[in-house]
Amino acid sequence: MIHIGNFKARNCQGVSRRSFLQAGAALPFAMGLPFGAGTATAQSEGRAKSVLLVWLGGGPSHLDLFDPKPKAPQLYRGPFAPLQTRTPGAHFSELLPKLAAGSDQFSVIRTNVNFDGGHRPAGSIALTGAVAPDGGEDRGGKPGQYPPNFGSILARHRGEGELPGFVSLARGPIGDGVGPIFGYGGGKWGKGHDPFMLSCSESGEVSIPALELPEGLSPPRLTDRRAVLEALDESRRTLESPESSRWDAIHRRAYAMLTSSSAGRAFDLSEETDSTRNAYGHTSFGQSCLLGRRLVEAGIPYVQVNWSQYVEVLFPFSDYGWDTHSDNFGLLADWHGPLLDRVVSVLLSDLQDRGLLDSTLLLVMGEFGRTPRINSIGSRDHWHHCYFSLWAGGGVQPGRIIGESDPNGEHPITNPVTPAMVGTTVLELAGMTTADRASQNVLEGGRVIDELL
Amino acid sequence: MNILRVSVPPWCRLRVCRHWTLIIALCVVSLSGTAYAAGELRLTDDGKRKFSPVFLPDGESIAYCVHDEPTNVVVKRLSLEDSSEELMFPDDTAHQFDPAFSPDGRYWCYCRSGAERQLVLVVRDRQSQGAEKLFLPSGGLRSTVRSLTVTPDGTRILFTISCERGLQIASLNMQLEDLKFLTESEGTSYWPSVSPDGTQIVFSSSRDGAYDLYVMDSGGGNVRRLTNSPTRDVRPKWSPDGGRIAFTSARDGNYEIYVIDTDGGNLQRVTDHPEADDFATWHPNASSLVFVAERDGRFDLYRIAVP
Repeated sequence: MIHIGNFKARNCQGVSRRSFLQAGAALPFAMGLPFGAGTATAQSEGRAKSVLLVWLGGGPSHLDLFDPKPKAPQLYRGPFAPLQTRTPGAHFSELLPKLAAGSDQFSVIRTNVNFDGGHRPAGSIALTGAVAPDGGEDRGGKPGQYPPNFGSILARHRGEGELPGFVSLARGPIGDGVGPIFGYGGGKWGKGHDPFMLSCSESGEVSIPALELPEGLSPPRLTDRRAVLEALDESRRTLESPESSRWDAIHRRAYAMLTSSSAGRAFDLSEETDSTRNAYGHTSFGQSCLLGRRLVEAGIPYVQVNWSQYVEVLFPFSDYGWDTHSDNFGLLADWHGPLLDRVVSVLLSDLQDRGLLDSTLLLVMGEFGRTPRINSIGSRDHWHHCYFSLWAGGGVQPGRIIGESDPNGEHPITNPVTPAMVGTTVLELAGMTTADRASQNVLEGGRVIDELL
Repeated sequence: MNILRVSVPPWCRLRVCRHWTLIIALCVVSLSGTAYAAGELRLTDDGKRKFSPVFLPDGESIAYCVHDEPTNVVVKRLSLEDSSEELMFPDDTAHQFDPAFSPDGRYWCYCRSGAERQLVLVVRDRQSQGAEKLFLPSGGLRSTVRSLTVTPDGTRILFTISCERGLQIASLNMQLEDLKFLTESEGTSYWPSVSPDGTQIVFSSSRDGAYDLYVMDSGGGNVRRLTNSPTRDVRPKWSPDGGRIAFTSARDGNYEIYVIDTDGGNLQRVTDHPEADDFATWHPNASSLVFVAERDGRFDLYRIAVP
């Protein structure tokens, strides 16, 4: 089921892409968009045909998940026991039994570092690989000054296609309640390089929040070619009006997909079996990861699945991100740990079973970790000096634990892995060479994380 | 020819019309003698994430927390008589966690997460038109009170509170005065539950490593370790008849419900499912548990008989 604005609609099986293109060509700015999937591209896809980033916004605690420190003092180690993984000598937290049992499918870096301790600037750095020239969101930075997101870079590199080159799954702009992460999209390249935003509910209903259908174009009528054409004619008149400014590229992309039966199917979770949907679990995160897998399967180059829209937990307007300043140990045991363990382990198995893992780079990370030393209210705060990321598929050698943190998990004692290295590795695996990156003036000088390969 | 006796608890007989499926399920349990999972009765069916169920003192309804919307947690009341549901605190738009009730039904308590940006303790006095008292933990911004329980004599409320020593167990009287810390150990101490005679408290603590169950006297002294599992034993609940403690353990690989005698012996596994079973709470007659079960990726309340 797809939601369009305030409507619900099945996919538009009755409208061909050709008919839409005929109509869409009449639009004054039709189809010159950075769609990346569904058409032959001149650019190499590399080992990773697609990248699937699972973004754990808020800062998941590395000590309580992938880098336990059972020998650290009580003030650091927390209450969770270490659990032997399938990777010899490696332990995860007991909150991750399924991932521990399947650790031969992926590798974990334990020495990621960031350069800012605030959610938004750190998020931008982690998603773009670069520190904003104006100091970041918390210091008066402007969105248009930001470097582009890895997804925007890859989408631009891959070129136009039927489907968007970069899709982000969330209920709205990702941020911390104060504002959005500026590095979420195209940045200085403009909004035309922003991700196509989709929302997926716990029941698997997909919404396109940015899309509001023109008056008279209700979803049932989308199945009627003539109705679509009439509505688009009306849209064109609307576009010529002063109010047309809101009618941006995102809307056109949505129309293109909705009126393409092949593309639209990628967004329809009702085509999945009950057992598959049950396996992912009926949470927004679980169904979003399933949708992410479908989008990867459809050939979208870069998909970002966001754990949640906000990062504050427990407090009003929160939707349970990883920002566990309060009750870290209760929340992780009750909810975050089991949910992450279930969904990511199912996602890995699903990608593997469908033969997609080799051609899909799965990356799971947040913007930073959490303080190894437990804070004055029995929880953990932001910590950008050392954290984890999980890598699988797309040319990554599985079953490795890369990097080592100090005995309390505060700092790397082996080479730190910077966001620029993360981005360089992602793009390299996705087929963007040093020359390709240089031609786009992105991540120049970045180094690939050789230990993953 | 063998004659099999089927024992049906009184509360089950009272609801023979609405809960006949439970009776049949209990028959299966009794006949097989082992398959407790076959005796599960689902009480809710919306599949939303739920936690912290607790019976109201009358035993006729259950209060529980539910993620009603992705950004909203409320306490709902489920009637076992007709399966109807209602918001317990409809006048409160803040997040609501961990309800608890005094045995006489006078005090309704819960944790509120609102504009204070703290998890504060709320006590509503039903004899005073729901007059509300608040307790704000002293840690200020982001400090928390969670996991409430009221003593059997209805005079004090116990909870887990964030403080400079981490998460500890403390209590207040029902006027939310006279704060007393019952634990001051290293590690985290969480989920207190009081014995029906009021003399002992069972709780989970990580003082010796992973979470295990401990028992202490009502004043906080004489701490004894009850379990010693390499993985976590959490959320203990003392049975209303005083003989057993139900709790959640990950000792077999995922969350399951267990019961254990109060001296630490006679460990029995109550649930057995590859998905999570958690948040057990005793029916007042001590013969069944209500818990949150994850089934096919959905979260609902279930009831199961305990032998």
